[in-house]
Amino acid sequence: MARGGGGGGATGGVYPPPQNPPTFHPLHPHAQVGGVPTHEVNSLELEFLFSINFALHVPTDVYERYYAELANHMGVGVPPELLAANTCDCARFVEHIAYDEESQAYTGAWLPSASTRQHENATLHRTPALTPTIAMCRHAVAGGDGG
Amino acid sequence: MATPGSNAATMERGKAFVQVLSCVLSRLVESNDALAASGGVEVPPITKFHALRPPSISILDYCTRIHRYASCSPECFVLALVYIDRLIQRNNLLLTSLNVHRIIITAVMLAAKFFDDQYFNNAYYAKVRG
Repeated sequence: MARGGGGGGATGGVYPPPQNPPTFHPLHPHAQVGGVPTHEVNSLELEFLFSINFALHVPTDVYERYYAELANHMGVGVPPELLAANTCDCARFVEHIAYDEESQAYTGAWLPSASTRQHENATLHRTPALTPTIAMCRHAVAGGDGG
Repeated sequence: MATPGSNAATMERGKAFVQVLSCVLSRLVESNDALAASGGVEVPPITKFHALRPPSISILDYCTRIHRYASCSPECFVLALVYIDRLIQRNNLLLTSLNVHRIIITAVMLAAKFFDDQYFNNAYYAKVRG
């Protein structure tokens, strides 16, 4: 199941129509607390959408970069079997990722898959400018407050 | 079709994502709060995301709550991080303890709507938000 594409083929500025009609679950009893008006959530959603210029589509490579970075954090404090439970292609890549001290880069190999992308010994360079969020928080989990 | 996050393995994976994401955001908020308190940076204008005072719930608890009740797929949290990064990069925005909660719930909500096949309506998210 290739879910790494973020939005699939939808590139428009609006939500793609779901394949199935969305099912509106009855409100969970545990969630009936708080009492924040719905219209505030609506306005927050609009504000967010305009702020990011409706750019909701995430290309696969961007998604994989973020995923690899997060999984790299995860590898510190999370049992590896959780990582192994991943199903998408990028996760399989991450599963075999390793940090090479000499070349200062992450190296990993794609597992053979039905996917058309089969990069052998793909290398993710450890770029500090990856994202402002993550770059500032590298090894945050290693600090010990992850759980 | 199974609801996202219905089976145990997906739940565990989601929990792992939530822990990492909340830890990353906590670190960022900590450093930004210190930065804003020291006056070393020009404080960006108040937006709709700003609360009057910092919510008492921690980011980890808040993300765990979202994960539990919004029942979105773990990938949504990765997408939410991408969206938050875009928000920071495109706007003069400082992620602080005043606005991080609303930004998180909005980003996760958008990610679930855009990516997942099933999602809740905004009224439900309003209740999850607390």
